[in-house]
Amino acid sequence: MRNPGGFAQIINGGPVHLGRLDSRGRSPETFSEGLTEFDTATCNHCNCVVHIKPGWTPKIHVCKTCFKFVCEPCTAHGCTPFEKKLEQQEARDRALRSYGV
Amino acid sequence: MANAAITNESSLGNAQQAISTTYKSLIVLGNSSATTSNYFTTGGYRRGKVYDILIGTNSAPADNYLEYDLAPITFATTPAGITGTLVSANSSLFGLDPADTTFVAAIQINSTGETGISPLGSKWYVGVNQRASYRWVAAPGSEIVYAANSSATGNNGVSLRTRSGAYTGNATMTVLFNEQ
Repeated sequence: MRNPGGFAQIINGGPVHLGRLDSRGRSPETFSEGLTEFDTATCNHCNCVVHIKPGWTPKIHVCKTCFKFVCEPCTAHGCTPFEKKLEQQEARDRALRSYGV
Repeated sequence: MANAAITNESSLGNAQQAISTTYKSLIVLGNSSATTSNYFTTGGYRRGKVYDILIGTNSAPADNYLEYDLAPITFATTPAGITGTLVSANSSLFGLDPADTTFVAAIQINSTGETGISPLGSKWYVGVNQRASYRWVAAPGSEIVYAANSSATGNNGVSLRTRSGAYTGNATMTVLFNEQ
């Protein structure tokens, strides 16, 4: 895997239980008692955080234009880096404020 | 670049709220013209980057399922629908380095109402047992970012929320972020 974009850990003080690591309908994960650690990656197009479970084969995607990690839903769209979206949004705001809107 | 740690501790002014089946904001941060720092006038917006999130619960241990997420939101001049007092006035308490300037972001904790929050998706989500605690730390460059603009353009803040189908106690959260 490429260099991770962070890490996450779950410290489970109770029994084995099911949990979820994303809201997109993926199957629940089993968290055993004690410490569970994950690498994470942050999508370069939408800025969402994706957990990568150890031993799991995630669909890691790399944009062929910006060569950064993108999440699965973003593969359906063209390359618009999140940084560019932010710059456009901030430029629009500066323009509106300069017009007194 | 000022780093700060925000927690939803009740002693900061707003008491922790009971968790319910609908999302409840534990910590809301974003740009607001209602808030200025010592060094920026009104409208001096800055980008914020969330790089560390810690979550847990502080009620009697039991087996319940809680969901947490971070949703981008539009933060208005007066935090619309986010009932509760802004704690930004205490910004000097939150800085990690006393040498840094105070931050511009408007911070609100333990919201008692959610009527004005229109979440624009979810950038981070985790569902865990009530007995579990969780931490996420971003590598530099992989933070969750909100834009430096006013509410007129929108999407200028984030809300860290939680909900549970059965748990009605309190949830705790700490967020570390910086402004640029």
